[in-house]
Amino acid sequence: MKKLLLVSFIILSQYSSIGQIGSIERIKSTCDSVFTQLKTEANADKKAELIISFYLTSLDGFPLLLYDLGQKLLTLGQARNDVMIESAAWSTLAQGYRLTGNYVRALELHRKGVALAEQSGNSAIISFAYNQMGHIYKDRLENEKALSLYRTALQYSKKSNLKNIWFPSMNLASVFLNAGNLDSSLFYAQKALAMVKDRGIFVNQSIIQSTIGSIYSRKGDIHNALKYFNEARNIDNITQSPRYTSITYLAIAEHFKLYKQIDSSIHYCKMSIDAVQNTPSNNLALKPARMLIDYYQNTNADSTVKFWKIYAAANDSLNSTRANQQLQMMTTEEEQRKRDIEAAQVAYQNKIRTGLLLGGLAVFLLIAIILYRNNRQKQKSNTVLEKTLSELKSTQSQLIQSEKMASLGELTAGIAHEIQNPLNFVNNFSEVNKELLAEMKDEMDKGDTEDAKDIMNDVIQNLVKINHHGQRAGDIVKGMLQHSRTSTGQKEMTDINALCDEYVRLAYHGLRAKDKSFNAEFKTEFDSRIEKINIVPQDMGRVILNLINNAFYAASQPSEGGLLGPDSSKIPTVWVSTKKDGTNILISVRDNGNGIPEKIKDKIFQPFFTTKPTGSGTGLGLSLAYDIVTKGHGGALTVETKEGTGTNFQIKLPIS
Amino acid sequence: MKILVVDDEKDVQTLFEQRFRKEIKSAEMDFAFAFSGEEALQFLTTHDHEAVLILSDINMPGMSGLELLRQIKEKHKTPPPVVMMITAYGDAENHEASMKLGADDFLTKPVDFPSLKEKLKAIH
Repeated sequence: MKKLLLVSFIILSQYSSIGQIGSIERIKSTCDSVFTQLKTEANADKKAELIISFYLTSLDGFPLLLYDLGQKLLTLGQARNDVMIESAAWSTLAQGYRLTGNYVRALELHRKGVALAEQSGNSAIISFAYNQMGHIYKDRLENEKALSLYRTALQYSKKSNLKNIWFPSMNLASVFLNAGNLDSSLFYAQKALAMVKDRGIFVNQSIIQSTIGSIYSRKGDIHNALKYFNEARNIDNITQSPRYTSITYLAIAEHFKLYKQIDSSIHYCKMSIDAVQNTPSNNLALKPARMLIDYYQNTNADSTVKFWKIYAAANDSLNSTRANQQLQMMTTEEEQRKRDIEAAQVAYQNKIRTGLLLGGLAVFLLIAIILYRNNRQKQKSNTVLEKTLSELKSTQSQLIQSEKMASLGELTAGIAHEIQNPLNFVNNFSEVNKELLAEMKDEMDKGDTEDAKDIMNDVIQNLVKINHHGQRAGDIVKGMLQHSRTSTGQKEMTDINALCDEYVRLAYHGLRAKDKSFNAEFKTEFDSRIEKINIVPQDMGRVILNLINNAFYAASQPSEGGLLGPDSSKIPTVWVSTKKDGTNILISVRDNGNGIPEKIKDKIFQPFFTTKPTGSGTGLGLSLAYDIVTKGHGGALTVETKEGTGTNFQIKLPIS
Repeated sequence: MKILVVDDEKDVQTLFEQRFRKEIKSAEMDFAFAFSGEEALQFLTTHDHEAVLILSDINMPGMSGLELLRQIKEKHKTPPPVVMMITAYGDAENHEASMKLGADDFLTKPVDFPSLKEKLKAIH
């Protein structure tokens, strides 16, 4: 056994370091190291093993260390939502309260620990929670309740994957010893001992050994009793735990008391007191001091007083330690509470801030959504508007076309009239000619050549008229076709001055050739700054020719009344001029004729409207000119006129 | 019988003179020509009661045939001359207007000369 323990001691250096127990810092650093491992451990059983290993130190003797570790475990468990760690936290805190004598609070926390442990479903941690709770009743010597809890802990330890959970057995042994059930105590103590063998050296082993020692002591087996007490002392020598050393010595002192070896008993009582003097566990001096007082009270007054003092000090220490520790724990608790409140406040403020931020974001989002919606609606309505616009444009062009067709339809009667008249003449004159030729034949048969010649002259005259009216009808049809046909002419860069000059001469000589009596003058004034512009030269030429022909016609018309001769005071004149005006080119064709009466001024651009006598014009010239200038070239054709003074037609063409 | 023909087409004169050359030759009919409404009224004023029959086109520049008809019926009541209206537009509107203004007959172009000749002879 010794050998085995020694081997374990050498191998398990981690726990051997725990061996030099004594300083709180050492316990603390070991706990911190285990806690660090716990933080990264995911496996439930391994976590349970780590939690249990906190108690391989003599942690369970220091309320503040327990409280400190409990708080750390609680924070971690709650943050991770880890019920195993949280359960261990409550059990650890409860142990702290137990040591300070606050059993009510301790029980309350143990219940939390048990509930959470059961929630976790891990048998090792459930066993641990029940076991820790059992201490409360063990301390108060409520053996039945303590046994019940330790038995539950034992059952769970058997279900666990961890095969060496010793503490339920160890505690059952202690309770059975207290209750005087030595066999049961021995049974569990042996079981516990078997389980801790492989764990290396740690504090609890000393208690198990001394418990067995006490059992043998009471059973009357002094040899075995001393053997186990020695084992316990060996372990205490390694662990150097004042608490467990003191407990071992006390057990030995009781053994010698039982066998009436008072001197030995006194010796171990003193050892037990010495072990904890000037340590946080000095309250353990209470029991041995009490025993010593009993020994000395009738024999040695000095010693009695001495141990009364120790007893009192131990009692004071116990009370003051409890009071101080409780106070400190309460203070710590209060501080923790304050920190919690502060944290809660910070969290609340953060929540508010987050809330405000989220609110702000929501408002922004809402605004963004509204803007987005507005934008989309605008885009939609834009699309609709664009569609409507294009539909309107198409409708407009359709309207223009149908207007053209409608005006053609309305004009059918007019056209019929215009064509009907020359056709009537053609028909009538040809019929008359047929009759005349028949008559002529009769006259020739009679030998009356004079009459025959007269008739023949009539026939010739009629044929001239037929020819004339036929051509007239043909011209009307040609004009109609020109009007209805859309120009296929290509635009090209054209010198507008040259074009005007060409057509004014063409018109003048054409009129002179047609009518020998025609007498008018023309004057030109061209702006040399004008550069070539992009137009359909044939179309624009026709417009200019038409305007010039009209102007010559108007200028040469007799003035007012129609029956009087031309005004001798004025020479019929036509002025053709061009001018660059910013981004436009102006072409002006002016005459000094009679002007256009106000009432017909609006009608002059309508197709088939003419002021010329029937047969002299188709009435399509200005209408065509208007279309060519406006639709064909994006320009404008306007007229200024004053009755009796003259007329000025102006073409405005954009340069680009 | 003096007949006044009113039409803005000057060739109408030649046509009538040739169509009715036999009647003119035999002095059965006598034609006068006016080339506008104004001219016709002038003629009627200067040759009062001479024309017993007036043939007038409706569509003429200046004074229209209908205006001429209205003035004739207004100014020359005794004896009222027979007025025949001629138009290329054989529409109901013109016909109705002519009848309302007291036209004696309404002819549509092209003029059927044989039937016109019959009508004129019947009046004669």
